[in-house]
Amino acid sequence: MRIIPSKVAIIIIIFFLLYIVSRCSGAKWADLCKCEELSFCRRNRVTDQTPLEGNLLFPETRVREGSVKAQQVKVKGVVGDSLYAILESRVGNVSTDLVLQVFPLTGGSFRITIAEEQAPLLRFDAKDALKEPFPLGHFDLSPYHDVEATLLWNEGKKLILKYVPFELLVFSNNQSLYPDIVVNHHRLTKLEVLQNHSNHFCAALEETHLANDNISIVENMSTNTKEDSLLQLYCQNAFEETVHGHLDQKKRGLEAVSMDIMFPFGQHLYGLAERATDLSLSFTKDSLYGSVYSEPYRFYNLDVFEYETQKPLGLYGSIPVLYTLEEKSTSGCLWLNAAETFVDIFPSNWSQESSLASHFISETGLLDVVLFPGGKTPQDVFNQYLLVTGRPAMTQRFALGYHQSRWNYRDQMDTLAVNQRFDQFNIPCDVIWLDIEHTNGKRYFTWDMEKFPDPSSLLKRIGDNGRKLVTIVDPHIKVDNDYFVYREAKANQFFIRKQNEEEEYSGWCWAGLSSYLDFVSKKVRNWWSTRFQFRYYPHFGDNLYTWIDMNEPTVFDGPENTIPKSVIHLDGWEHRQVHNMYGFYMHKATYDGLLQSRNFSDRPFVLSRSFFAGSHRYGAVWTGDNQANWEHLRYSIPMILSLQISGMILSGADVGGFFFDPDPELLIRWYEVAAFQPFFRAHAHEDTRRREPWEFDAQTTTLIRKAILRRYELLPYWYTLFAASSSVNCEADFETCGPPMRPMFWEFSYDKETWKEQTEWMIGNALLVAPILEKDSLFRTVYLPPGNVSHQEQWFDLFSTDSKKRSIAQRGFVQVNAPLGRHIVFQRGGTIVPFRNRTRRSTVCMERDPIGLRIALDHDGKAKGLIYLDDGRSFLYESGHFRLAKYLWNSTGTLQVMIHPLGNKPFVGSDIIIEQIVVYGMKQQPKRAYVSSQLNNATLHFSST
Amino acid sequence: MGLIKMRPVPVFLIWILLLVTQETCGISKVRGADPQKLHLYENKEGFFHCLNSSQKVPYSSLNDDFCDCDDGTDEPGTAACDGSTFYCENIGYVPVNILSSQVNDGICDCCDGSDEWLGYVDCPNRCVQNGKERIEQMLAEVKIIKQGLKKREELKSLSSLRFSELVNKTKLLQVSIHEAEVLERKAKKELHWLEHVLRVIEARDIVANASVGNLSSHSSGDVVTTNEESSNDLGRTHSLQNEDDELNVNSEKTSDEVYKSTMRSDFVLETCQNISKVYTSSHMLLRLQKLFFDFLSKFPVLSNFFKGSQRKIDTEVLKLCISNLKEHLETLRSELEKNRTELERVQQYFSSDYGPENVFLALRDICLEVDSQGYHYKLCLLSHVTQDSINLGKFSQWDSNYTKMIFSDGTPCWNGPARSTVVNLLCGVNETILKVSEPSKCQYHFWMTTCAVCSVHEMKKLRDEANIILSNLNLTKGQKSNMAHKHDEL
Repeated sequence: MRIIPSKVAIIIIIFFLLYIVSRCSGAKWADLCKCEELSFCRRNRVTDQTPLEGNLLFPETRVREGSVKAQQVKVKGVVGDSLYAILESRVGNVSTDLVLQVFPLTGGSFRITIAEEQAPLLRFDAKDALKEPFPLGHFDLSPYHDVEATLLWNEGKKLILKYVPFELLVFSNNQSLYPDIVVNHHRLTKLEVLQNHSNHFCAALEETHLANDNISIVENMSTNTKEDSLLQLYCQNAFEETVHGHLDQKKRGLEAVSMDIMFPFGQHLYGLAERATDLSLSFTKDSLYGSVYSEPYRFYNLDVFEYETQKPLGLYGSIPVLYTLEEKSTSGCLWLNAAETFVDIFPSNWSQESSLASHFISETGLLDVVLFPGGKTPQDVFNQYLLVTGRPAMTQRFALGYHQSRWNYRDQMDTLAVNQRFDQFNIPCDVIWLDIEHTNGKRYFTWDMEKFPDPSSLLKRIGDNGRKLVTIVDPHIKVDNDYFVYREAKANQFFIRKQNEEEEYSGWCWAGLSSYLDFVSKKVRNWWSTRFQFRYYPHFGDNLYTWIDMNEPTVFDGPENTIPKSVIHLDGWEHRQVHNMYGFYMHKATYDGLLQSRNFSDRPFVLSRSFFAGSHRYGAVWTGDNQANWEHLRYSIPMILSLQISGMILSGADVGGFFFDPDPELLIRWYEVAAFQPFFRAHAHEDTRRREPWEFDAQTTTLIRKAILRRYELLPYWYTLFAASSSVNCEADFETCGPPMRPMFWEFSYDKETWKEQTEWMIGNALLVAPILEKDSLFRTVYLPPGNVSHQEQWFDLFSTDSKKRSIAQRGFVQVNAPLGRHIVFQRGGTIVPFRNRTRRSTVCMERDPIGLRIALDHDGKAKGLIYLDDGRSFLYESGHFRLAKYLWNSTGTLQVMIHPLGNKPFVGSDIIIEQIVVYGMKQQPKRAYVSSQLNNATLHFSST
Repeated sequence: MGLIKMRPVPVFLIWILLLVTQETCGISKVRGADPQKLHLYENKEGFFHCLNSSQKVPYSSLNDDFCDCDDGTDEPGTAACDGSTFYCENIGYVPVNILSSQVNDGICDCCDGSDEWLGYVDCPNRCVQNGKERIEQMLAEVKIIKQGLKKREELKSLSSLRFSELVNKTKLLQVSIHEAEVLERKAKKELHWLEHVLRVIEARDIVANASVGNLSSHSSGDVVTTNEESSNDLGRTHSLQNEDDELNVNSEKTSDEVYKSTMRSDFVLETCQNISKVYTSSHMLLRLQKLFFDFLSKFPVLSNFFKGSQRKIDTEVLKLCISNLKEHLETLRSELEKNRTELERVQQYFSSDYGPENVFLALRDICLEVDSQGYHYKLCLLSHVTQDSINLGKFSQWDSNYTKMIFSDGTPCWNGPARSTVVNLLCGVNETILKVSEPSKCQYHFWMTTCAVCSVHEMKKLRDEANIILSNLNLTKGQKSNMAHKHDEL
């Protein structure tokens, strides 16, 4: 009898603990807005509970007869053609004329925009995400029909505009019978027409029907009543709504835009960064489809505290680009909208074939989308995407080295001690980072002179070893009239203003009460760019670079940790129209600042947490505040891969996890993963224990060092890949032009096994990386794509401890043992990878070192590869100060070297030597090796195993 | 830029550079090799034997800028091998072995610039300058060490004095505690016995009164209650008797018998006398005994008691006897408690490690205070550390060579571990805090000077270094005598 109460007590305690635990881990997801909680998404989303048939809220859109015409347009000095048509759109009782414009772009993609023909207010155009000048193309509009218009353009692409109902069919090949992309197949294209508040039909509705919070539509209602109720539903929260306790007043009323885009060939969809989800996107609605999520994917840049994996919520940045894939065909689209956006992914069909469709819903902004008809491979879509958004900025070579960061290195002595310990343990490192605590009370552009009494000497000491220092700058400016940045920005009225437009907006962030600079305004950006000059930023030395953070922007006391949507920007925009591009604009202004401060002679390095499509033109991003656990380690891969295919090639995750303490095993494995991912930075939260490579036992230090050395070994290859991605002549000069870190499907899109693969990836086209991602695991299965009928693949295990295994590996699924310290990297037959294996302190110290070549032969005994070299920091490569060598190994065993004719001017390291050539997969023992050259003769030593 | 075709070029990169630096007759010098190991670099029948393995490579592989030995020892003069070292002669200063990875990397590492022998950067020879500066620096250091060592001797004698004080104090306390414990035990037994006697007497009285009361005004209910109480009392008596075997109370005695025996006034007298007898052994209780008899003498009635008169007085005396005894016991106990606490406190000193020759003992409980970055820190050596009112840890241990005091188990951090502190000790004349820092959240580091860590060994090391520098200097006579003078200072 006495046992029962105690049992109950135990159960209660356990329950309580579970409750606490679940609250802690579940709170962040629960605190974020769901589609159903936001009126614009609620009224535009179609779920299986929303019958579309006869739904008066979804418009009948048709092309007005005789309105289709070709127009010449001029955008920033570029003249091209556009297709112009008037769409008649009718929602409920309201009928409006909309203007549809189709702009063919060079590269074969095209942009379509839809807006009111006449509107009292402007819609925000996110065109700054695109490269300037806007690359317009030319087309032929012929022949005309009564039911459709056909557009042909010189890229061999075709578009058919169907009139009733409005539908757009895009063909990657004008001979093709099947379209690659179909717009409005599901009739979800819709634009909530902007109206003046005084004669807004919702306002009128509010007066006649007292706003009713519980509107229900009953099947047996009469049509009139039903229509009435639907309109009420439509107008609910048109002008204000309270979400999670924050009142949002919408002075412009309804203004959402939405469109469905269907991919007839689609088998998988990728993209929609940034979120911690699987690489291959999941269905988001209707349990019948086996949807993983019941929520649509969301784009709303937020500082999500301790974000969880496998949730469709959006994180710090937004790149609304979609890729679709099947064996022989790819295509994609870019939703150009800076407002809060939801995206549903759902199955569809075309000519009885199953396919995939997407539905984009944005709260406001122009209805604007760029369609990429693609081609045969994901690379084709990527090329089109980069033609429109621009090539990624050419990286600083040091940025590809190892970065050591922490919130925070306490003071000057501490920072120098960390710097010195890298030398003590003979571990290379390129950059040391200082977080917010280095400033004087979070007043950015200042130093805490008590902790850092002599920043110039600090910079010099770090620079002595060829290293760089990165300091942080945030967009929130401390409200303090004695702070020169605040004073000047206030005097110039550079801050975002409250809804009433009279006072400047302020909210809480690291600096305490702060105001937010309006980076959307060009004059603010110009002013910001001047801040990075020595006279404004004391001690801004040659080896100091920049990190921008909290630029979603984060406001601790704001709705969802950000700035309210109703605050006003200088150019008159409400924040809701520009939100997702705030971080992008700050990134741009900071990039320009670094460029100007160094007289356009040094490539800027700027790491940003927030970003948008096109941010790759300005620098690096990372996946924000992740956690020290195996799940976050695993999800760093699909997260970075999504960023890679979205153009953000210099991206990575905090090594070790930002929050919490990793044990040595997790930390070592994390280094073994991140050493093969582009942006390689260790960073940690203030509350964590120190975890620099030497903070654990000697074995841990050795293994971490080994991983870091591997990165430096492959650095010539990484740098070549980055140069290729940034090159406007990539196709011609480099041949392989994808993102440096590639999903498996990128190289093997014909192989279905690779489509969902997210535990292994390719570096360029040559190296396959398959790290251990599970605790206590000493082996894993690796998938080595076997190739197809026309080309059989060969794989070589580069770092096997058993030299016999370095010969041709078995194809398909193979098991590989990997204790700590064993890096699983396979080189693909047919490739040549340059490397440098001298341990140096930093990349600068390596620039004169000889290189080696690893040649992996394909089935026919051939291989090819490249190396790109320049000074690693300036823009002199544009005038010939670079070397681009192409290596060709033919089946007779000759290595031919060809150099790019334009790269002939000198730079430090332009005359380096090849000290070692390793050939994998030779069928016969070589007898001798020699150099045949007019310049010199040298004896070659060789050995074979 | 349109499509650019690459044209084949015979050789883009030159293949190999031979960088062996050797002279025809034997091996006078191998670049980067430590002169003491020079013999290991001999040409043995056309081969170089790798230093740390049985591997041998063609002699031409030595310093050819390509790593041939798996142990990395064939390239002392280049950066080709990971993990090998390069010897900097550093004439004028101290020769050092630097990591080979620092050779020809564009950074001057050796003060003589010999690591950048390919001339990528201009490395002026700074060795003589460095040597001079170092000597000056060492002079200053030695001065501090010398002063520190002197101070350390004082500290040591202070510590040993304190140590013997502590030992004596412990002994004294242990003796007096032991004595007091014996007395306490005895007094407690006496008290029990007296209380027992008193209860028996009182119980008897109650019974007697009750029978009287029954005839007069008391109600029967009251009587029953009283009876019950008294029988309970008797029961307790019984159990007391069981407990107190040492008093040789016959447990089989009935309460009546006990009563009878207590009735005998000579027995009572005996008991009280017993008390005094017991206490005569202790000087402490002689006082009590005296007090007791003084007290008795003040009451003439008591004299009657001793003459064996009324029982009424028996109990009064007994009660007085008991209360005095209790008072005494109380004094005894508080004294004992005080001494025990003191002993515990003293013994705590012995539970800590005071390093070699207990030198740190004299520093214990010395508190240093400093204000840093808006906080007030108080460091009580070998005891505890605080930041304002927050506990940053209690002293828990030393590092292996007594240069770090480690304090742990301080106030827990919100969402984090308990605060802890490491105090780094550097040689200096006085106890001064140089710096306070918090490298990880809730983990504090102090740097302080104290003479306790100044060591002859340190001084010797400096002297050795000075010898090397001086012997490595190519000096004129005048300079030499000047430097020799400096050396003597060292």
